[in-house]
Amino acid sequence: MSERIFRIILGAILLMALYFDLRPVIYGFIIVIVFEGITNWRVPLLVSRLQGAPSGVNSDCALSPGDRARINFEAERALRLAVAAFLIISYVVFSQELWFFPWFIGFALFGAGLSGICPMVMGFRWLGFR
Amino acid sequence: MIIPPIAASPDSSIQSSLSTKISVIVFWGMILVGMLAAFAVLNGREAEIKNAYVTNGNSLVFELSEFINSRKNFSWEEVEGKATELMHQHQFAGISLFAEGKKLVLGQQGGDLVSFERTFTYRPVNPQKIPFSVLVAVYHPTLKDSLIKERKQVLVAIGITMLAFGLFLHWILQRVLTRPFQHMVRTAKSITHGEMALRFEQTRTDEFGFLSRFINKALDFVTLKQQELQDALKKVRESEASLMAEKTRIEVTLHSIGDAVITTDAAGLLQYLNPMAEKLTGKQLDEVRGFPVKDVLQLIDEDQRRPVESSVEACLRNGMVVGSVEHVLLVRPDGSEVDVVSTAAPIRGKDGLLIGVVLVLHDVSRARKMAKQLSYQASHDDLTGLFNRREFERHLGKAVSEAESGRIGHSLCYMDLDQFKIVNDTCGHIAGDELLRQFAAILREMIRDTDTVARLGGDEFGILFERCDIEVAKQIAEKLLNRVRQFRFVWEDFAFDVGVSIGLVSISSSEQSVTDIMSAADVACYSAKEAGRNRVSVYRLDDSEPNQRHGEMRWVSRLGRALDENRFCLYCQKIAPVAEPISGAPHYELLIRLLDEEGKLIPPLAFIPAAERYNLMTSIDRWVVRKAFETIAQNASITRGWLFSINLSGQSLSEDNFLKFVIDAFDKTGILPSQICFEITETTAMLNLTRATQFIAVLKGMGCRFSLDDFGTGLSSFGYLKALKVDFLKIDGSFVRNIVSDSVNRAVVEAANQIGHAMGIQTVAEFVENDEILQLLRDIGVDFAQGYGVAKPQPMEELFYGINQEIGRKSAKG
Repeated sequence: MSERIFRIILGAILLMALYFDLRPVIYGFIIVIVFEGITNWRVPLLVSRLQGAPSGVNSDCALSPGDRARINFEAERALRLAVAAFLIISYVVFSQELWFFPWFIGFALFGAGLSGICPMVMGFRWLGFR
Repeated sequence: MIIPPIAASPDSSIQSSLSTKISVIVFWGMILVGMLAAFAVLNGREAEIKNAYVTNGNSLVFELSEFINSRKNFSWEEVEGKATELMHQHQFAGISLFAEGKKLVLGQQGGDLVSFERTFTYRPVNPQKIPFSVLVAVYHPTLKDSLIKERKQVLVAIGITMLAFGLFLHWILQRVLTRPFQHMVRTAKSITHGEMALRFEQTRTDEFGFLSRFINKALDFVTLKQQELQDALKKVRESEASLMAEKTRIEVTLHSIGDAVITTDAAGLLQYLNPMAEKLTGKQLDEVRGFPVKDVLQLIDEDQRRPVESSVEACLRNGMVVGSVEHVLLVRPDGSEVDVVSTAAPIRGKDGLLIGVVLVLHDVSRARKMAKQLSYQASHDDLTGLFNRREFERHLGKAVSEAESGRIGHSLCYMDLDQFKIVNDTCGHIAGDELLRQFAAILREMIRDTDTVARLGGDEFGILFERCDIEVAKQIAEKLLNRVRQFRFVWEDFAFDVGVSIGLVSISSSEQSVTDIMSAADVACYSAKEAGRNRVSVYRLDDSEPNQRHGEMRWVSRLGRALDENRFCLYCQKIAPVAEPISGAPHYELLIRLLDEEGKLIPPLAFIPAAERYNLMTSIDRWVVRKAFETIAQNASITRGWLFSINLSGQSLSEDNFLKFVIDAFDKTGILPSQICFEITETTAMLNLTRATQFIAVLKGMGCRFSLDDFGTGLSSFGYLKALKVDFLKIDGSFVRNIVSDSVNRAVVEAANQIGHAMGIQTVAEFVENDEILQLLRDIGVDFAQGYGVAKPQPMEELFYGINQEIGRKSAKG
């Protein structure tokens, strides 16, 4: 499984959970991506390993060939933590004021999966994450 | 055109690709636009929802009251239908009506729904009927739930729409922009990787098609140019290889050739030295590269020792090939000098401009040394180191030219060693050579620095006394004579008193030529010899004897012509036995005569001395032998058993090929060697003793016989006589002629006869002019007589003719 597909799945789950007001699902979603972000046991990696594929998963979100990682932290992990943080802030803490932000995250993840381009991962890589 | 397959994945080297950018722009643009659109839509919808909350209940109640009041009769069925219609129209979840104690409930009620209640009065049209109140309650969700529901619906709708639109837009852009662009990129990459035959797809009619056609044309042009470039490069490489080979060849050639090759630039600064040039100049290329060539090559004139301009400078100035002047020396750093000949040639570029000079230096030291040596050898005598005859005559010619002006007088001294032949024959050539060397040393010490001394021939020397009149020259010659008289040549056990005959001639007249002067000096020398040798004789115009010598010289040309024109003839004079003059086998001495241009007979005494003196005797002897042998051979039938004596000169005996000539003549003519007797004079035999001994030995071996002529007149040596092995001893006529009246001559003849007989040699008396002499010779016991008293000489042809005639007559009688 690639990160791209995983992003589609994440986006779709989040959107469906928001639409049907499945709060436990959203909380579970937050927990899962926080767990991924902290442990780097990312679902695409685990699935790929189980399938016997190479450990490296292409995120399709690399920058120019000249870029070099300066921070020893995966951009995908950073993405997960950032998404979890945004969801916690917008869905748990300020749900009345930032009701739209979880929807934005859902559509962004889904769009990133569909397009194969994740601006946040690209941004993290631009900042120096792996 | 070959279209490359499209790779499944984009090029990894182009990560921030156009596709990415388009995706980012499209999707995130869509998301942002969707979000904005959702906000805008929601804003309006929420206001509508809020407004509907306020108005929808009243509107429904009002419309329902209007409907009911418009009916004549209140009918619950009609009310239910209308209420249901209005409930759906105003999107209420439920509705309930209460009138006249009866309640109508439609849709949902309770739960999270909230109600809006209102009452109106029904006023029947029929006044008889009583109006009554109708309570209407409508049920709908809370405002919050409505808003949330609306938000979800709007967001999902706009999100799905935007995503769909984004996908569609992405597909469109992918089709019209990204895909052809990536296709072009892949094609470009393939071309970059060397697939030069690939071309961009140019079937499209949009900008990509235009760009593809443009790039394809550019690629075609580039390919063409590349091909041309490759061809040109190939040619350049071939040319380079050729140039490299040529360069290598030239370098090897330059390294191998024996000449020094130096190149300079247009400023005359040295650029290249080949190894020979390094060796010749004594400088290494690295030391002198960039230096002016005139600083590297120090050229000086051999004679004046002054610096000479290098050919390079002249070549740079004139732009033409310049050869150096002769006798130029190259001075090397160690001071040694090398004879060189240089040639400088301009090097021109394509535009014809002078770009440098190539200088070739040829080491001519050996050649010049050899030339000097040759020049020395050409002008000097190897044996004595003195000038040779040619150089002496050149000096003499110069002196004669100076004398023509009349201001300067010179003298010429001509010398002939008197005893040289005796030394040569007695002690050998080595001794003779040593004598000549010692004599040359004496000459050197006796002459002045300004004088020129030369060896003119075998034992002949000459001295040119420059700026010296004849009297002074005579004094010097006298001193020289005295010095030579004191000189005694010693060789092993032999000691010889050496004499020299000196002829002097003055060079003062402008009418004299070198030949005349040499001839005059020779004549004077000969006069000195004739006068008893070992003296000085000065040539004077009124001297009769020298004039006679001059006459002899004129004979040279006459004899040459006579030989060419075959104007000699042979006479023969009988040599008869003294005891019985008319008996025995005929024996004739062949005598030569010369017919002058007018047919007049000239006796041998008139030309033989000249012929002997000017080395013509060999030619004459050859003529005699050839003619005699031919005549004898032609008359072989009558000459069988006859003996013919032929005189040979000393020159013929000395000549290497004469013996072979005689043998060949025997072979050609077929005459018997026993028919020939060669006569050699005593002096000739003694002066050429070795050669004469060899000559006699060879021909005697063949059967020839030999006579020793003029016995008693020369330097008689019985030892020589014993060595010569002759058959006849011819007593000189000067003793025989007066034998009757002169007892001394008679004693000489008797002694000679006795010696000859004692040695087993038959004797012949010459000049027997009468019977009285013949009788006396008979008394003495001489074997043969020759002379007018026996028989006069007669032409050889005439002799044979007479004999043939007589034979013919006898044959006719017989």
